[in-house]
Amino acid sequence: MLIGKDKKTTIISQLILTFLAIIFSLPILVMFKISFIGKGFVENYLQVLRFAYTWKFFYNSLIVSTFTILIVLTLSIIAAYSLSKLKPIAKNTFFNLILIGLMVPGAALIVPIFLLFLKFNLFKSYLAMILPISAGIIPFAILLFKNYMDNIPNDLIEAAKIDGAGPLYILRKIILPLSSSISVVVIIWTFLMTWNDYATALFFVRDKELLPVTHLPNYFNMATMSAGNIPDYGPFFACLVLISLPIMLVYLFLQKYIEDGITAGASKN
Amino acid sequence: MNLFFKYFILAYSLILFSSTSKAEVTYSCWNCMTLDTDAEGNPNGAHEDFNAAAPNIKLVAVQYPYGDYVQSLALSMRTGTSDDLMAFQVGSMLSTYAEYLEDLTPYAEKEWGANWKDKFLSVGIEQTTVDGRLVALPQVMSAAGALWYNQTILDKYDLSVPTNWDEWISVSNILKDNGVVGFMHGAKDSWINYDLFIGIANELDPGKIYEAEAGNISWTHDSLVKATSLWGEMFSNGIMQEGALGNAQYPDVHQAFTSGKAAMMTMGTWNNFSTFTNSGLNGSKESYGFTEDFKYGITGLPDMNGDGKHGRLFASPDVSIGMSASSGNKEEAWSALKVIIEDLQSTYAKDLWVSSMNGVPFDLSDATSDFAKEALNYQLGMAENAYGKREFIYSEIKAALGDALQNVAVGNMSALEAMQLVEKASQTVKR
Amino acid sequence: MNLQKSNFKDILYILPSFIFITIFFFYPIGYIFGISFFDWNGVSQNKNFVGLENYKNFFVDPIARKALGNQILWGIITISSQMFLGLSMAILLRSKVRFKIVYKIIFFFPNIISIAVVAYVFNRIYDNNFGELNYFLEMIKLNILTHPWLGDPDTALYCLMVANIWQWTGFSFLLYHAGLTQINEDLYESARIDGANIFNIVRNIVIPLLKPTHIALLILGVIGTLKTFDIIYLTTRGGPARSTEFLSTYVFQKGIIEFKASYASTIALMIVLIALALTIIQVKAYKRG
Repeated sequence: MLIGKDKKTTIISQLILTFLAIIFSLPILVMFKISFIGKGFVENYLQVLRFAYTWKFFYNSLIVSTFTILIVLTLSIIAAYSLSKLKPIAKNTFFNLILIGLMVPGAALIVPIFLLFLKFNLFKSYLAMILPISAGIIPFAILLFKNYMDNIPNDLIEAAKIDGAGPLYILRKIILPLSSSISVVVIIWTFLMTWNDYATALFFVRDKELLPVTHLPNYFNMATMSAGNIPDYGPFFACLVLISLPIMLVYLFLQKYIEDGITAGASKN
Repeated sequence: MNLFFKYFILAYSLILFSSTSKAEVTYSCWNCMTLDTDAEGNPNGAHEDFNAAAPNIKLVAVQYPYGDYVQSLALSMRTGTSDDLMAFQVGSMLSTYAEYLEDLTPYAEKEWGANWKDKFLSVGIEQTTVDGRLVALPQVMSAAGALWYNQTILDKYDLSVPTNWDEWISVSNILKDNGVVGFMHGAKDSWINYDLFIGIANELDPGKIYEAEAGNISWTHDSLVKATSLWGEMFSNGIMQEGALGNAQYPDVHQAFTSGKAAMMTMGTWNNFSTFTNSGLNGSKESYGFTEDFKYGITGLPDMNGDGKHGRLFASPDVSIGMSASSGNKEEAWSALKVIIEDLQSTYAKDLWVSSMNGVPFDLSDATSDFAKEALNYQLGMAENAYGKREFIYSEIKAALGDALQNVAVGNMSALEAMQLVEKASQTVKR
Repeated sequence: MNLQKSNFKDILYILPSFIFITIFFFYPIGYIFGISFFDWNGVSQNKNFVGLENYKNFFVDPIARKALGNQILWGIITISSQMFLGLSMAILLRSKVRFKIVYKIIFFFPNIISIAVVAYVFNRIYDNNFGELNYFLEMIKLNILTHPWLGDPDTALYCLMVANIWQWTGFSFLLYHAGLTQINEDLYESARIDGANIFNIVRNIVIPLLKPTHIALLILGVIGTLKTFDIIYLTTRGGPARSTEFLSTYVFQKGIIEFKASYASTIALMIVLIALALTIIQVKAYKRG
């Protein structure tokens, strides 16, 4: 075995892991702690929950996340399927070009995309967020799906072909059911990226009503004149906690799938 | 019958809405001076005053965090999608956007006559005029370079406000030995570093820094090198607190000074409200958790050139407002702008802003004490005698100076080396 | 084996994704490539053509050099720390410890919260006057160690590295955990019989066999380092004295704050080129090794 199953090794391991775990959980504990200062736990959270825009922003984030997930799933599954199981011309070229998408820094994208949105007047629509974020996630999703699909044995596919199945049928009836765990991973990853996004909304959303939940903390600054934006720490951190809550819940319930999925996606790189 | 009613209601609403519809003027700002509405949609102070002064205009003012505002402004201006009115800082920001802003001179002349300039503080109008065009009007002025002190604390240790450099060092060190920060400075924030440096430079040799910016003299001029050198010394000779580079002016320095943990700081007139009014001070007390009624005073920076006089203030418009050249309703926008600039000065005076217009004193009705009133009047006198400005026109110089100041503060460079770099940047500017 | 020739029809599946990527990545790259040859402030209607001047300036720019140096240092320390810690955690969790699920959750948790949250929390922890770190040091009477963490150019970058390592180690941990499940346990048995201890096994069996995972983490780590922006922007903005400046934050400052859009585009382009070059090098090294 890799590491001993004897008592001594186990205890040492437990101690080291506990030590690491304590250190790793400290910042989160700090975050919770700060959300209690000032006016007190209940009052801080209530202040956030009572704020007019809180529910609107949560709703916006939900809409954007949902549609982004739909777009990313649909487009990356079929692209990965083709790159993995079909024979498109210039397969490698396409794949490499798609991966280049991972390397472009955000700052480079602002101006050109802005001009594009201007032409199509997308600023006051949810698309202003959905489209750029989807574009950002698709390369990674394709990577995950392709790696996973590469591991699906071809005999099943061959058998289906012999029975006269076309590529779409194979995709629907064979590949998709077998890709459920990686699909869950992509869904969770996309949800995370979309929910936590700040910059896209900053640049491309010009309507206050459409802002996502990540912009909520901006409204909890101390009301000092001309002082700029100093957070009113209590409610501000309460806000941060509330923003993280949905992700925490999603993660807690689905963490098993994340592990299985990233496992599977990474096993052949 | 049904159809008739539908059309009737439609027509009626159209008539209703068209006759009572107000002209809508949009305004975006990072500090809307309470011209906006709060989170629930209720108008803030100045907005109510605006509605009273201009009931036919619907002003839609939206406040954005400063960083967000600056980032999205470039895009909206270029593409003509910006609001009718926008807030600007003078200097490089205003110069850059000037080409997209309406020249307000004809509007001003029509509104106030040929001598309209007399209504305003000249130092304000100078800075909102770019290439001969009046591209913005100053809303309120901010005069910086003052030394704020806590008289209560000084009295406690039998000290008086330093009047020269050596006293500054000794007073600060005595306070330090007693567990109080002498002069607290938020060196993390570049804007207050510029203020302090300009203050020192102007005290040593008034106006040389502006000549250097204009390219008339080198940045390696003796007085500027000396200013840089003094600036660097402050970080190690006990005047400033330890770790000044890690503190922000807001909230760190503001909190420490107002709550009595630091005896001195450099600030300007924009900070008046939170310190000298009951409403402002109570807000500070609640946020910072202290109760004592300190006596805060204002004077100039200590004498550093040996002429026996403390430093003078220098001022720039704090917020200036311009009109988009591609606005769809310029006449209404001008009407709104006129109200914001002229009619609401009494509103701003209540919050102890220095007005951009002549003849508008502070409104001292909510001042905390007589001592406060004295301090404010002294400050107003200094502001009226202000010399020079706070903002730089050339972003190359501003950036290079910011780097220079930080490098000297950290000890990476000597004052001369730092100024040489600024001079190098200055020479790349296309004047 | 599938004997079908490559065909055009199968490209249709890739097309929608590719169109997205063209619009949101290739078009912007082309755009910034274009304006990098001008002198433009990002706002004005006027631009002057200046050829390669921006590129020339970039290569002699001391700040760009410092920023790149910072990023290289950051990359080396954060990536190696994440890999070391991640691998250690993965190995330790193969023992018979209890509450494995709790550890897994705690280690991966930092990876899922928003970067803005991470930044604000660490800003607060490192705060000179009210921060938890200095407060803790004072509590255990180590006052001498209290420090303006983010205000000292010598410590600021390292403090931010801690935040980054905290956030991303869980990801390395997860990948190593996956990698370990694929190693045949018999290898360990034979090694044990030959008298090897845990350290020998790790060095001679585990680490070599995990090469694909190492490579994946290295590539993602390098790309991630080059794109790092939010944590710096939300804490130190590149200060003090440029000690935490990165090329990515430098792009932002030049482009948005200083109104030098063309120079900013040049820097952004260099970031893409560097990322490309490093990735190609790493992939080639992998294929060769």
